[in-house]
Amino acid sequence: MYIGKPVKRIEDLNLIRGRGQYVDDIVLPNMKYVAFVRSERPHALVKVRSDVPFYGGEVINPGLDFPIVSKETTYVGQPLGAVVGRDQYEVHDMLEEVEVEYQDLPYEVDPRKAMKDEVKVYSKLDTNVGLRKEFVAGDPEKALKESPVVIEGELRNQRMIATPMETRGIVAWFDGRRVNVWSSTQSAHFLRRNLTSFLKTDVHAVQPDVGGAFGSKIITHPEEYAVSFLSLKLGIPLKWVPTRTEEMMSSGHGRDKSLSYKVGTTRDGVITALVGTVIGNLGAPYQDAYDDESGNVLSTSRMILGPYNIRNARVEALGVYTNLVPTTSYRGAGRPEGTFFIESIMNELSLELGIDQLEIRKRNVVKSTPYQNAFGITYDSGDYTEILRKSEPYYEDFKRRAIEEGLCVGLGMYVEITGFGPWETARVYVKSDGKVVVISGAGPHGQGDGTAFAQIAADVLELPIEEVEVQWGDTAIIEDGIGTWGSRTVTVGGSAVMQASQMLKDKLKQAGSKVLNVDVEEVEYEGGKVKDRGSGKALDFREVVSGAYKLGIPLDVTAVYPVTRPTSPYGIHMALVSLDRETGTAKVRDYLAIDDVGNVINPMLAEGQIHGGVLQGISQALYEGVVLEEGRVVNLNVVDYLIPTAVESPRMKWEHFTFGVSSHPTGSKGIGEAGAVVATPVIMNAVSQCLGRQVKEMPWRPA
Amino acid sequence: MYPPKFGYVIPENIHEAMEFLESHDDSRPLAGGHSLIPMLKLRIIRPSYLVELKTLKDLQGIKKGSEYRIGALTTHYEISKSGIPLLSQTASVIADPQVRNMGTIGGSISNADPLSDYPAPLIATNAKVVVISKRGERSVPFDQFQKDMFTTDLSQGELVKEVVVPAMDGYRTDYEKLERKAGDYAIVGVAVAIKEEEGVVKDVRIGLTAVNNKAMRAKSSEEILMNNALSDDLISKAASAAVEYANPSSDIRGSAEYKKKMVKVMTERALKKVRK
Repeated sequence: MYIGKPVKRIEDLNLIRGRGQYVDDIVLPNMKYVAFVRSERPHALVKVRSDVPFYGGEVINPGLDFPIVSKETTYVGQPLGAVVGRDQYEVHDMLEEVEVEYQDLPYEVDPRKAMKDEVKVYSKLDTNVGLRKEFVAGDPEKALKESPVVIEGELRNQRMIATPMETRGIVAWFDGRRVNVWSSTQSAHFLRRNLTSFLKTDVHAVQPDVGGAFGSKIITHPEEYAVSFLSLKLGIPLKWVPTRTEEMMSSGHGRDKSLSYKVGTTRDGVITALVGTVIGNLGAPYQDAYDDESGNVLSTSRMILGPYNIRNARVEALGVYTNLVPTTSYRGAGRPEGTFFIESIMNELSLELGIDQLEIRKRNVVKSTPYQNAFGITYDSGDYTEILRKSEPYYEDFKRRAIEEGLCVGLGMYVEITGFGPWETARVYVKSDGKVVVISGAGPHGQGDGTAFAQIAADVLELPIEEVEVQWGDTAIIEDGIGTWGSRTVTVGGSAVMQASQMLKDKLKQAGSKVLNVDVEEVEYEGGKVKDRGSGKALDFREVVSGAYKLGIPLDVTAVYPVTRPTSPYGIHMALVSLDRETGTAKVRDYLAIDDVGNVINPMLAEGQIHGGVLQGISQALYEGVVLEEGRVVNLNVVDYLIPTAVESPRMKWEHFTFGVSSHPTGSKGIGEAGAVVATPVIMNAVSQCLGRQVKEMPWRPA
Repeated sequence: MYPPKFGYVIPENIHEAMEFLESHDDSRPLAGGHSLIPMLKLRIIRPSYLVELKTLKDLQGIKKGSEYRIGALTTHYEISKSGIPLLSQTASVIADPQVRNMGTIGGSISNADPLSDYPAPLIATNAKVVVISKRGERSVPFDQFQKDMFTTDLSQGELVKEVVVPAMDGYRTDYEKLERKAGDYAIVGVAVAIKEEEGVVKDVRIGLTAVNNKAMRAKSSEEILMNNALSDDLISKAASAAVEYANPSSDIRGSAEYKKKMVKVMTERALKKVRK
């Protein structure tokens, strides 16, 4: 069995030798480069005068301002149009030949003000409020009135920039028949669907190696539409790769939500009512981003209840347009904000009521699963009380060390939604020489799912893992696919791989029985061999395969695995944090993650996901966040926008338990986002414990 | 990301370099390139020529006599490894390892970024800058070399040849850098050098960086400490006095108010570290 073992990544060999192929490694004959002129104003009417050929919105999407501006720009960084030249140096010289005349319009970047509709973010909007929905259960107002303890306040989860090490980028080439694109994207198939409908032309999309995304490469970006369009119009291969500053001013903006809340409890800290309003800052009204982020605002609002048994609750969810970069998914996609809100509230209660942090969670936690939270989300399996019990010795040890070393302990509990649908595909086939090829419709970009898929296929087919090759990211090699996001790939994509592998195993059995000339019921499949139970005669794997090829039996199957419902991992994380009382600097010393993510397919890779997610969560708490001045983000490089280094990263430890598996064939739940979901409140709660008051804005940064 | 066009000159010797620089107003010398090239990439400077210095022998190497003579092209890494009191410690916390492998002391002080690290120890130790041009050499005290932020005493055609730092025998020294994260510029940097005899301060120098247009000596802090024993109380008083030499601006690294407070904190920490 490979499943459950820390199998080393099959992806590594190319990447450690510099043989990866990322989009900017791709060079086509006669290829030219594209660069975009971007708005320098948050809201304005624009007129472009250019001494060089310039392709603006009137060329690419006449009469519209999205994806490319024709007349009215709605955020700093919005693409106004493109120039095409010999190389990156030339196109950046050409940008200086383009003159933009702005007629400034009033702008608004604060969603609380934008909600009043005194300033329209975009003239074609009826209202800046893009989303309004209310979730209600029980009688929260009455419960609040009857609660002996009520706390209230406002929590802010700041705007972040995903900042993957590789920016976006695309190569597009119209071959006379269809448009071929290579893009740094989270899904070739999703990109293809969007581009075909925009271009009204067939598109072949390839996701080459991708240098991270963290949600920022789910949507199809304005530039991807524009470059694909221009390749069709100009008939030459085109490449676009933005600079880091361009990337940060136009992509990857996430989070940016606030919660105003009233929470009622008993004197023992048992929550009796929760009433709140979530305001999500959607940025400018780009439809692709809206489709992505509006769902995240709802995720935040519904997950505010956390892993706690809260039956009287009302949350109003608002998504508000502003003159900022259109907001999109960032690792966790709405769930981190919800978790930050409830876990901050838990810690505030602990401080206000003088009840231990772990104890107050014990008093509120969901007692048994499956459990449907008051806003209709089902927590499918697991034992929340038990994981708290398991965490106790670690927590006691942290508390002891906190006293001895003058540190503070922060706690955070979470429950997550992962494994979103609607479906995923897998194709498995065997070449005539016996090599097994697994193709996934998902689009891994660093998470190592290729290795997990190989483990799954090798186990089902009972073959050495070396015999299995895994591919993805090309719309020409599998019929379709969804993509990699929502911590869904191993679970949903892996279940498709498992089913396709089982289907292939049945085919191999049939082929083997034909070669052995016996009924299929007479044979068994074991260790890659097909054996006639009667005679004891066995064919090894290669004999079965070559027999099938001789007889003309196809060994190529595709499975489509439909998802009926998401699955919920959960856990409790804790950190030891030092707070320098003189400088105000907080530093995370030790971090412990305790998770139940169902069956763990590869513990080494799962732990890697926790480390990565946790560091991003720590960074949201202590380092990252956009800084705005006059409607523009001013920290648009990695000196001013703080991405942590190894020095800021604490020692981390990961423990996992399996009290609940998912109902998917893999039995697994997602872990890709869990670290980022919970680490932020863990750190903020530790800082708050140090100070004896709840800190409600991030990052915690002395100033 | 993409520099504008420029010409490139590889001079045979330092005289050729100085001659070219003097006769081309908008030419710039290129040393480690870790401030110049970033500025080119952002197109905030547009020189007509870059004059490559890295092959020029006259600007390299560290000589030790009664003082350290540090060639302008000596890298931060080389300085960090050469055991120069105060300066080596300071060099070791500049930026990150790759930058330290390329960045040079001559380039750093010629660029005169108000947030850079070297000015704190250089002003504290009364370092001198040897400037060379076609007309010969001149030696300038560091506090006169730095005129203002990004502005030095250098004229067109002049280059920093070497930095001369006293050996500081018998001194204990420390550089305290407060930073948001590893590799960043200082929020506040404080350099301290102190000489005690029989428990009494006989000399003390305190240099502050990142809190003014250029580095400053905290003179009244020094006076508080001179001829006294370094008690906690006195250190605290001296550290408080250092704040009056700080006139920081509010920016992404913190408010002016915060930076002023941190001058006290960092000065206090530096003084406590050098106390025997």
